[in-house]
Amino acid sequence: MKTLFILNNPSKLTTCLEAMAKDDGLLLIEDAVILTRKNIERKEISLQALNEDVTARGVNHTDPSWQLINYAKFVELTLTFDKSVTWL
Amino acid sequence: MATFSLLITANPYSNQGQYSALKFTKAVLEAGHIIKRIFFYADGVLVANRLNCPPADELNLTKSWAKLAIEKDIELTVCVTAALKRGIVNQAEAERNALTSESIDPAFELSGLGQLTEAMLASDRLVTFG
Repeated sequence: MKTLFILNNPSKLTTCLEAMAKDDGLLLIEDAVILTRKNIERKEISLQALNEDVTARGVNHTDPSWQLINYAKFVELTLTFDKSVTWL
Repeated sequence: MATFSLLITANPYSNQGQYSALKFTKAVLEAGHIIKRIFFYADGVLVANRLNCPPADELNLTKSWAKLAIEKDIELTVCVTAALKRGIVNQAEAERNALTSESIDPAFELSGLGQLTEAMLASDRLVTFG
């Protein structure tokens, strides 16, 4: 079962990654968008960030392995995965 | 077409969760999906207080949820135990607890955790905002 992990707190990244399986996805929203690919040791997981929150914080993500999405895609993403877990 | 429910535990004035949830809800509806129920729990219930008076240049989350609920016929359900602890009461609870007035916005409804379980069972996806 593929799970979408939604992370809004950058300080919870380590425990979130520990809970994730190979095919799971990570969506960064709110304050968690300040994280960079360098912070994420597991390179195999799909990584997305909510563009609106990225723009609001003036973060410049140029890493091609990092996908910026809008709310419409956020909704689609929750349906692409079997379930979502918000890692609080 | 899919059915969504939301669980919101975010404090309306401490972080961004309620704002994110509102935008997510609008995106769900714009995509033609259905919102079964929005369940407010823990500090998330604070948004149901009709006496909230945020500054005029800030988004009024209580009114935003209420407007959306009325326009789109969405159930806004508030955990009764979490609400009573935080002074959010309807007329019946105000009388039962000898309070001078109710404080819940009429667009929100007090109910129990069973409504969260039922929403989970009746929806394709539950998305949490905290």
